[in-house]
Amino acid sequence: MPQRSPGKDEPYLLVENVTKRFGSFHALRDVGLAALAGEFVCILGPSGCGKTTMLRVVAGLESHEAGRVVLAGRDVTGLPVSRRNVGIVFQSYALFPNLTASENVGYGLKSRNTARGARHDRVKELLRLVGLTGLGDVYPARLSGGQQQRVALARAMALSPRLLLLDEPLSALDAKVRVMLRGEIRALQRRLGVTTVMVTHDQEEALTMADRILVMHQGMVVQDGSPRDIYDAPATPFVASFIGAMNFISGGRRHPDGTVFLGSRSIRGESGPRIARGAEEAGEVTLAIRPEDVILAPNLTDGPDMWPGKTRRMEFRGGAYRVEVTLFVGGGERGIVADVSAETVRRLELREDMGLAVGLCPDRMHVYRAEPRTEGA
Amino acid sequence: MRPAMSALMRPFANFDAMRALRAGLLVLLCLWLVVAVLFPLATLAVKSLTTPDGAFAGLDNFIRYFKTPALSVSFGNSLFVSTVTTLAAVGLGFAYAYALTRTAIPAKGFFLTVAMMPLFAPTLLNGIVLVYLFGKKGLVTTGFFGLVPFTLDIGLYGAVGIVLAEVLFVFPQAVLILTMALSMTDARLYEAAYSLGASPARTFFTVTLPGVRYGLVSACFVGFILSFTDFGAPKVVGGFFNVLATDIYKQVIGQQNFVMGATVSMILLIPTVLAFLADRVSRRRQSSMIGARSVPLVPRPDPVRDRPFFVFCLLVALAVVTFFLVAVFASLVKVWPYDLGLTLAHYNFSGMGGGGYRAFFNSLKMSALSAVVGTVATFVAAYLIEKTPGMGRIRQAAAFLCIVPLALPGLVIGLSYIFFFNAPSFDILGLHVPNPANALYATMGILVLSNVVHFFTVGYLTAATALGQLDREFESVSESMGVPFYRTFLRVTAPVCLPAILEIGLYFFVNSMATVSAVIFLYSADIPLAAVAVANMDDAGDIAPACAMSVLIVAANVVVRILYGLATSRLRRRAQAFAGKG
Amino acid sequence: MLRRSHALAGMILGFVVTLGLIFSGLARAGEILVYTALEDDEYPGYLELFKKDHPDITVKVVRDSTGIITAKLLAEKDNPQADVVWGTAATSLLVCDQNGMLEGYAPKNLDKVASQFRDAANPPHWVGIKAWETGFCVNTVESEQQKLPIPASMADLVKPEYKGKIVMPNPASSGTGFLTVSAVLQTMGEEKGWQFLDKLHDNIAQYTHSGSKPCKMAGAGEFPIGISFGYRGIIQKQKGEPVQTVFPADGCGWDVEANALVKKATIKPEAKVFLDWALGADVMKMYAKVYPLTAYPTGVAIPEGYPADPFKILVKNDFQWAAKNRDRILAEWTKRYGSKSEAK
Repeated sequence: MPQRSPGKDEPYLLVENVTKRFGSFHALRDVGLAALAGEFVCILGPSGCGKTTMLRVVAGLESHEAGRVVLAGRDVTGLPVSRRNVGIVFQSYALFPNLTASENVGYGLKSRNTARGARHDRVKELLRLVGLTGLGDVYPARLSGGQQQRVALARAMALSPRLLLLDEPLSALDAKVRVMLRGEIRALQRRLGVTTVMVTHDQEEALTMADRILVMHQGMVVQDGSPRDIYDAPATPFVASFIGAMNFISGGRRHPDGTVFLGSRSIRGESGPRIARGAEEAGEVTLAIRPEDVILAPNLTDGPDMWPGKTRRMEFRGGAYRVEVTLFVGGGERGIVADVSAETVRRLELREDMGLAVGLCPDRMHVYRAEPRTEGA
Repeated sequence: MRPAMSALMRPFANFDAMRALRAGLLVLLCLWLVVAVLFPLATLAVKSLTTPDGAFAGLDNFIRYFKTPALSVSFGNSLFVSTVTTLAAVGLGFAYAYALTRTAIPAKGFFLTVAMMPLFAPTLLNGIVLVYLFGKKGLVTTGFFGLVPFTLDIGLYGAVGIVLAEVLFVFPQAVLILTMALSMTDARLYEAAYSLGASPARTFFTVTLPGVRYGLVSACFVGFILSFTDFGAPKVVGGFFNVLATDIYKQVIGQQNFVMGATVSMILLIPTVLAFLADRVSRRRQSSMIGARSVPLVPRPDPVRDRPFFVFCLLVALAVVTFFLVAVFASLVKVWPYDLGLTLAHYNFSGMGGGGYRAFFNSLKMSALSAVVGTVATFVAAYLIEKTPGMGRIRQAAAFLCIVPLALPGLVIGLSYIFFFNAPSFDILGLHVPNPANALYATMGILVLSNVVHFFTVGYLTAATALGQLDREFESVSESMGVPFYRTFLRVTAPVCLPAILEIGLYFFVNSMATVSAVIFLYSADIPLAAVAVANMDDAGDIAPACAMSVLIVAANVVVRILYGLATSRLRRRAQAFAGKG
Repeated sequence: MLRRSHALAGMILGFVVTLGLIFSGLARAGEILVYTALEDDEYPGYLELFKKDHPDITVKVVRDSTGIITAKLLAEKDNPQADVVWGTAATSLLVCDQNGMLEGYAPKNLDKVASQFRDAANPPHWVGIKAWETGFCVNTVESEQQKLPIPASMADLVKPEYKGKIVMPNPASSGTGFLTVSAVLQTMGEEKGWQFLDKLHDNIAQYTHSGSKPCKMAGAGEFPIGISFGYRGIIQKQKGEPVQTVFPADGCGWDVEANALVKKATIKPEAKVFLDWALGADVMKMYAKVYPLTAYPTGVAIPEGYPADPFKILVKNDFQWAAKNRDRILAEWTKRYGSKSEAK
């Protein structure tokens, strides 16, 4: 088969129209993914969304009914994992408990007929790379969670794979170790330039590590973009609420001329609210705004963006407060939350059950088609 | 390359030798199970539907069976005896297991070891020792030969004797299952009950019993199957009281009526299979019940509760120990009851049936081979079924076939093996098919095979449990690195599962040493066996040498058990170097 | 890839070799398989003599109760394992012969054998070596303690004082049991015979599987009287057990212990050597030391414990009738008393 390296803008890894069922359960519905060489792609979604299945399809560990996988310009659909040259780190690490760290890392090298000396050097180099120099003779059970994770990473990298696949690699670790390892993994990946796909359910992890994020929900890709895109312009209410927090304000209306109304007031700004797909036509809509974009002011100054409101419960979060606010819209009330810095709370002398003005900047607002029971934040 | 061409080439380009090999092994496993389990069973079923001349007889044999009062009575007898046995053994076993898991009595390890002792002996010994205790010239019946003023004749021969012997046989199994069930509980449930002010009795009925109900059900079914199909004990102390298991022997061996033997075997299978299925169904429900994160219960000392339980355990343990001491004593007495001088003469088996020491060493050899072959077979089977990716249907079929032997009594296996392996050829639909398996007849091979099949399921389940606890991704990891599966199997999977492997080996060895039921139909002249020798010597009335041979069997099993204990404690020490788990 | 397939081939080869080792062990040339119902403490002595005479022939022996030996032979009808049957009830061999399983052979010394000890056909399908007969084993210590008179005849056994005191072998499995029942039916006639057995049944404590077990139980005092056979009681007395052997005065059942050549695809010459030897004068003298009733006179004195003229006490036994009616008698017996038979 002719093997050619893909062009610069051509994806190094391409997954197209993949469909996978487990009995009657539709695990993947026509999903796709493209990663450029050296890119770090995160597949993000809640548990059961199909993200791990997607990773296993890419790895060749799971068969699929339709679609294809292309790696480095070669169609690898149906090729067993052993012939795809991928390195995998599993959620559980799957370290062999009866082998030392070195033996684990060198496990795949041995069957490749690598000379003993070269193997030894390679293992040493890999351990150094992940910062485990001197721990080669230790059994996995004697290593900390973070150290085990690094051994798994070194083992996955041992055969210089074309593609590195990480399945929730950090989920079993303490919060602090997790944050530290995020940076380390990313740095290592950059240094080695290996194209990487990571599966995670932790949005913060995805936002901090990924070049690109694929958000999956119920076996489908619901959004594909850079972390900023995903955060600033969530394609659906699901993405909006899954990544970061989002206030949903029901009862909006979109007029045939395109103006969006909340109560009797139109929402208009410099660039106006961002209209999500599906909400282009006139009709009932739901407005959404992130808590950090909600502005609290002491009294109702004029301005089209200000609404009367009243504080309810205030939750102390260290450097900031999350304030529950009742918004008076037309004749009704809407509950939203606002993230306010401690400084602002002091300045405004905020307390619970206090009347105030709430600013909803139209430029930071999103408009979704109203769906029954879309509650947020 | 043109698309059509590449689509054509794909199956070849994507051929995965390792997966194909694994799939092939799995298919081979299924084939083997079909040949070793289903084919013989089918031959047995066919035999039960034919006349002795081989003509089709429909259900005539079954009708004749139930019309012969002497035979059909056995069916009721078997049901009665095994029901009583099950209730008694599970009741005792529950109290014993409760003491071992839910009280703070001392010497739990000792009590558990003692309770397991009867597993090491052929059930014939249970009957023989009962004769020495409660027979007409038994220790208890004669008041220890007049040493104590108190004598008791319990009328041993018959249902009483059978139940006593079978309770001893079933008790260890019940204790095993129930200690497991009782230790799998969540301490938080008890804390909740306590904090809600529930009385101990209420806690017992609302928390303890529901928590172990599947264990109890399982113990009942296992106890029922064991006592329903055992023939060793009824053979020795049954007296007039006929049961199905002994009927099969009488039909086959006493009356040369193989067809009726096959018929009774099929009848024996019915309740056994029903109990087996019920147990399976209840187990399936149970698996959904165990919480993922339970807190183990550590019983606190409570003298009011602990003392009676300690006394109870002490009494039961004393009874078991006494039982074995009587066995040893009886095997050393010169002429019971007339000359109580001690002698080793009964251990010199010359002039006795059964083959003497040759039989004993054959049994050792057969058990060792069964242990090796059985362990390899069950572990590999469990590995292929648990760890092969995909192939769902075949894996399900194989898993089912692996469970089937549990429902088959040893004597059904033995009899069906005669029919299947002794036939030089089969006439199937007018076709004359030579039988290659015939070469096995009357060899060590058929004995080993019958043991491997007879005890297959428990070994398989043990292996499957051990393998299930391993990280599911070991296989994926090695596959992704291009390491062939068998290397990971040998380098990682098997070493990590070594404790389970040893346990399976011990199970096969101990059971192969003690079993009579399957091999009594299959042993041949040059391969006499110890447990069969016990049966033969008992038949000839040489009860003291029979007892002596049983003692040798128990001794061999104890030695192997000790070796196992030493090996596992070494393993555990080594395992602590690389893993936190035992 | 090459290395992998090597390793795999090695694994498979190893497994196959192991299986081969396990499954080897079939009969070899210069070796014969002999089925016998002779007593366990009896035949090893004879066999030593054979080994001395024929060191080049290996004899493998399967010894079991008459019923079991018969059952085994019949079970293996389509694929016979044994080469020779030695010392097994003539009635049973007749059953085998009716199934066409025996080959005619005239061993040496056949001319000396009394006519009632051999098959009438020429060459005979079976040849007897000796006869054995019903004998009661009575425990003298227990009899005295329980104040039981020592029974002298079959008729004595149905007396009420013996209720629950007698053990008897199951005729279905035991040759001794069958010859005893057959003798009762032949001497009393079938109708009266079954009536007698009904009464006897009331006194029986257990039916045992083998013919020797009743005597051993009597010897151990478990039950004071065992219906067994002469040899057993006499040997046990020699061992010091308090056993007295009684030959029923009113009709002592008996059967011939006979040899036969099994019909097989290849009949080994060693089998014929064995049959010649088994009827030879040397071994016949050894038989005679414990059994007074031999196929031809040996000049050995009648062993102690037997009556002076052992032939005289025997009933008239029609083997052909017994063999022909064996199935029917056993079926009737099982129907009447089956539920009282000892397990197995």
